[in-house]
Amino acid sequence: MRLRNTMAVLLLAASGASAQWEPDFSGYVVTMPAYLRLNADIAGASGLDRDQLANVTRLRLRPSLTIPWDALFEVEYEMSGLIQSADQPLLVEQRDIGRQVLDLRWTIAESDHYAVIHFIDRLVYRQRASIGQLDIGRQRISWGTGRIWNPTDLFNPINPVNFAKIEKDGADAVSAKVFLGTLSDVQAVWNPAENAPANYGVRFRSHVRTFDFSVLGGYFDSAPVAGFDLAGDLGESGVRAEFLYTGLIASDVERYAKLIAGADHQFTPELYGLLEYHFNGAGTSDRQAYDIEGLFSGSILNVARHYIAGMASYLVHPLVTVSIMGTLNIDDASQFYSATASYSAANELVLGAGVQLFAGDMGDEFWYYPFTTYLKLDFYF
Amino acid sequence: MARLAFASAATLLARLASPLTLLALLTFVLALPAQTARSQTAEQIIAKAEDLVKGTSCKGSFTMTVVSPSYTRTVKMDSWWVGNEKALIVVRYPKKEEGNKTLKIGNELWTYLKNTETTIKLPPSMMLQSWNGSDFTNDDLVRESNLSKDYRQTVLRHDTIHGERCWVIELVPRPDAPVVWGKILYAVRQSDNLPAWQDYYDERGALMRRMEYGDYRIMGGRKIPATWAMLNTTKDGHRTELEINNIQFDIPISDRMFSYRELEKRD
Repeated sequence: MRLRNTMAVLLLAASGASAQWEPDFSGYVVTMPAYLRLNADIAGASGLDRDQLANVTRLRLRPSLTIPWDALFEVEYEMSGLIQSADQPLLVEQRDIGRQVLDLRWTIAESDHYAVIHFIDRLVYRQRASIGQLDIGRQRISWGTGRIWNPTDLFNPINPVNFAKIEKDGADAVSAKVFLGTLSDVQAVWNPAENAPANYGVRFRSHVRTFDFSVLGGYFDSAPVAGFDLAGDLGESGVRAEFLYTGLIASDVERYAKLIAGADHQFTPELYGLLEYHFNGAGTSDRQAYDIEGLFSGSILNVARHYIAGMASYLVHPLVTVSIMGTLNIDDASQFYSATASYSAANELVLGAGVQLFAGDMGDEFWYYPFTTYLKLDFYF
Repeated sequence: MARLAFASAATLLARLASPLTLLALLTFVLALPAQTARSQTAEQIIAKAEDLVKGTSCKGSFTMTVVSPSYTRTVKMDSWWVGNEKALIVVRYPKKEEGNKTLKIGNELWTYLKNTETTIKLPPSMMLQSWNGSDFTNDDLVRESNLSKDYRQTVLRHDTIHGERCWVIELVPRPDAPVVWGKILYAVRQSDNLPAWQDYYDERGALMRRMEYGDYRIMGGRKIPATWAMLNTTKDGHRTELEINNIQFDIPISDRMFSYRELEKRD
């Protein structure tokens, strides 16, 4: 009887609000033909030509459904194809996506020279209420304020070298957020892991004067973590910082800290500049001890301890932006430079071009990467 | 005493009876409405004009068209405003920028980028940056609203524009006011107290841009200019047109609308 009553109430609620079922659909396609020139030692060791061609094409579909009882169901599905002249991986290849339990990635076709895969990167049910929000499923959890590195982003941050990615990978999680005011909230996240203890964390975020700040704590990758981040104004400039300490109260795990500190400034209406320092306590200053395998599998983003990066962008024309970025590994003095130009060719179409240059001695972090230049076309629908 | 008063009144009537005095009186009576309007201070005129077009709160949909000799771009958006202190603007078109949001609280701005799911707090120096590729800047969203706080205002002259008599008011920055303009001229129509145009000058006195209002009609229960065009006077043929598609004034808008929650809400 109780079940029947409950069903009746649910049906009435659903039928009464049926006008509020609102499907939505959007997406984009991006294609990037690229030329790569491998460094001579790596080409020689692997038996590859130094000059290589590749093309990455991604189709991302983003359907969503607004549900009458203030809920939202979101899916992001992607089909991604890589074709290349070489018969071995040329680009940073993230084989295992962290923070994902369900395997929602499938291979459509694969050979030595091409691969077509498809996967579900967001699959989340969001229930909103006046006091908070509950998200269940594969979702993006955005923690941190850094513009280049995000040590407090414990959910799949992007390697700055990876030019093919726009979104960070989704994490399989249950996330509950309670709103404590207009600019204050607290978020608790539970992220199950396969064959390992679940990850969980709590982050409190608020705003004081001209500063956004947050403090967080939790248990990630079998270690306790604690940290904070902030973003605010210093004079006319913006300043940002993140700090994360791992292993604070545990005696049986490696202890280390990670932090970033940065500033940005708009010098003229056209010229923007950014500077960011990164300390990676999980890395090493001894290049012989670099975890290169971890770097190229995508499980870590950097191998050394001290980095500094600068970025500038210039609005050449209301439709054309040029950006340059330089990153220095302070420990081994290797360098990574990139330059991009993008042209808003139409309301939904962006054309771009980019180049990536790397400098360093054998065994340095940025010695491994190939010189890369690419064209880019983004079409949104 | 009563006799003296009667005598004074009789004298006054006698004077009023002369044709010259009658003409003077007629002129005074006819001029009375204008005299009353002129008695408004510049601050009152501008405050009234701002209130008429913005209300104490408003919610609306807009189409912004950026026009240049070589290209045209269109952005559609919804926005919620409470006074001049709080605003939330959500881009609805094009798809490339759909779902991007701008939140303003006081003098602070945040943007939410839907494609990367990131919230960015904009530093004060970024107020100079173009807003969404238009001839408006972030500063227009944040500071334009505080005209009485940041500028000394005086009625400079009277002009007739498109047949409408207007006050032209000069706004000069107060010492240490955090503003980017050296001077603003603000024209307000005397018939309905609605804005007609605004000229923005840099600190060297050069005219940088002009805002022109047009298509005056009833929307949201009041007469307002339905089109606002920002002309970039330093670049021939560059302008940004803002068309009000629909608008509601003086409606209750919860503080919750101006929050991280709404900024980051996926909808």
